[in-house]
Amino acid sequence: MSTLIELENISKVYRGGAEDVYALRQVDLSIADNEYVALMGPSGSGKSTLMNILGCLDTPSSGTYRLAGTDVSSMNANELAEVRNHRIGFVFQTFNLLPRASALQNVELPLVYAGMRRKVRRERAIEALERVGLADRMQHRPSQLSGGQRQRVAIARALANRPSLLLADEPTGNLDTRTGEEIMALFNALYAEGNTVLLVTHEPEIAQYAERLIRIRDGLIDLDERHGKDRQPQSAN
Amino acid sequence: MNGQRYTVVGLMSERKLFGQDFGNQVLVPVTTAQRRLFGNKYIGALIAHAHSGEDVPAVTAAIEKALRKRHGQQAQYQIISGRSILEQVEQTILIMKMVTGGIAAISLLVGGIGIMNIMLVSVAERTREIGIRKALGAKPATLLWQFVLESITLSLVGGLLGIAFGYGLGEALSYAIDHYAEQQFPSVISVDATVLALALSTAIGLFFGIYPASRAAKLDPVEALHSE
Repeated sequence: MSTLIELENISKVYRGGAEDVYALRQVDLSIADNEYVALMGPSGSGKSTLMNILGCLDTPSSGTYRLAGTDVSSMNANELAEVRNHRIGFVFQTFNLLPRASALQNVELPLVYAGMRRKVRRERAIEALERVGLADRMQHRPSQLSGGQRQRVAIARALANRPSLLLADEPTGNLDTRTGEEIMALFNALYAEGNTVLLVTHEPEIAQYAERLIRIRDGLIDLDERHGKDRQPQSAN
Repeated sequence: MNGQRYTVVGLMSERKLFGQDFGNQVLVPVTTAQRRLFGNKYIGALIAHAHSGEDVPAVTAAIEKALRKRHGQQAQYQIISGRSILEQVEQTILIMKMVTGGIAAISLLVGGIGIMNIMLVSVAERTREIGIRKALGAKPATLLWQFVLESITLSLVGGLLGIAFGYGLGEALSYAIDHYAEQQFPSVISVDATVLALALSTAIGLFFGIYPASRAAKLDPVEALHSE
């Protein structure tokens, strides 16, 4: 398995008035292709900062981040936008769908930014929506969908441009337990199909679904352990 | 008239101009008028008619020369030709055009600032949407264009409404004049003015949209995503 993510000496400093605040302190981390990783940590631990850097939404103050072999740590806003578009699929706690656009249009959006032709992107978007089981809801607006369905649209949107990394930030945080389990089952299936999944959560039960658990505290990784296959929950399908 | 009797030797037909009936007057021989109506020997005004418009300056000069010769340098008179009346009217229209142009320029400026304000509010309200778009791979330039296009659309719709309003007002005025003054006064929409109006409203949208759009384009994706 080749390395997808490679962090070397990554630090993030926020320049405060009196003293500098370190959100991340010289973090080293390596994640291979087709891993299923849960990132845990209390608020203020640097978890969000790490996630933003991994998702190329933010750049580190120092250190090197290689994503699929390319150094992205000193890229400009345009290059980062391109990397996010092609390499990363985001799934958010609050779904973050565009309310006035249909499910299909929401899924098409990253493909529009990729400069794909209308016909191709429509096919791709339909394919992604079929994958998450929403083939019959494509013309619905987010307000006409349930929470679980909205999150499925968001996952389809994340999958549409076939990213290297699926980055899910508390994907079940706004869902009831049952719906949350369904969404986690979907992530399990996507992992089984060869996707790399990074799950950011503070719920141990959700983190259980992953095969590798990374815990961060005070800007440092204080735990990095792999679960065996035997710890995979039954609901995987 | 004035208690005196006159013999009517002819009748004028109806002659209308600008709704005024110029046929509705009495013409009397000049010597009769001087002697019997006004009791003086002055001539209030002479009306001369040139054969064509081009002759007017020459005829005006000839009349002035003749008057000076007859009455000397101290003679008090004023020569008003149709051309000088036209020039006065043209000057008045020019001043009116400048005044309305000034008002139009000020309202364009005010409208442009209004558009900029609305776009700034729109960018602020849609910060989260901008964050989502950025996360999905929208480049700063892409977002800049999205918001500039929205601003141009806004101002262009305004321009079209203005043209429609102007057309409607012109037609309504023309109809009213036709109807109440019984005078043909057709409204003409000039193509130049229409094209200018559209071009100007596009330019206003572009100019006043760039600043809000660049604010949208420069937003930090992390902060934008976490805004409410």
